[in-house]
Amino acid sequence: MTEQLLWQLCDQQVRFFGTLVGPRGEEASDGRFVEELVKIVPALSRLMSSLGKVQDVISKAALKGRIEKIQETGEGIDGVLVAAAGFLEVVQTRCREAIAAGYSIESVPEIERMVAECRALRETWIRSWPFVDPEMLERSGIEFSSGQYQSAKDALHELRNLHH
Amino acid sequence: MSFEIFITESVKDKIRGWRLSPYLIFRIEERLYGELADHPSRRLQRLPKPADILQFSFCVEGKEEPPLDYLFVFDVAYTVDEERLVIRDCDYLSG
Repeated sequence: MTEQLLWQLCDQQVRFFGTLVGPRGEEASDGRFVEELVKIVPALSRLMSSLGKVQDVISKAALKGRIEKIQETGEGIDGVLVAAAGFLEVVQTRCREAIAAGYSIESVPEIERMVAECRALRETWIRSWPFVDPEMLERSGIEFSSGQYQSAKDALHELRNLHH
Repeated sequence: MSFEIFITESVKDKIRGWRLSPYLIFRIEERLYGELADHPSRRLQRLPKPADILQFSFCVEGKEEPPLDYLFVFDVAYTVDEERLVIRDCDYLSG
């Protein structure tokens, strides 16, 4: 799933960056960018739809015990979301430059929405996935060294009885 | 030989904050002592990054209506004498 998304993202990036380069390798005109943008927006929209589904699919697989490497998987999905957000921000910047040069771009609101959605997807992912927390590990290490610990059995019995 | 398992105060506070049902806490205890304590080397997965830590994870089905699935992840380290285990962090996913 992650690989498929990465492939889609790379494909869109290649297509997009192709729109930034003119026939002789110089930077494409704003006019050409605007023309090409119309073609890639539907593909970007499909990519966003896939990114929206991936969290759900991966989370469900994890909850059924089908994800063996939890940290690695979480980082993989995060990497795709970071790359997608970075890419969409480049598209957004290029749109703003074209608008400043006097062009009208109908899909700007859609691109702005995709940028915001991608950032929100990442925030949700970071918040919900059970990532390793190095700060907590360090704090716990200090606590153990200073005797602030107890038997897990006793602690769990205590917590269980809180609800009785 | 069964390993003793300890948890730090921060980990206990974290689990308390989850407000899990007694049933789920029982299932956690069951997995920690029925699997991890007896065979830590078989059940722990080493993570080289972002911190050198061992991870023990398992899934549990809750008893809510409709039931939720839970994935619990425990970050564990051996003590220096390698005879005990310390849970240094934990987290869970549900849905």
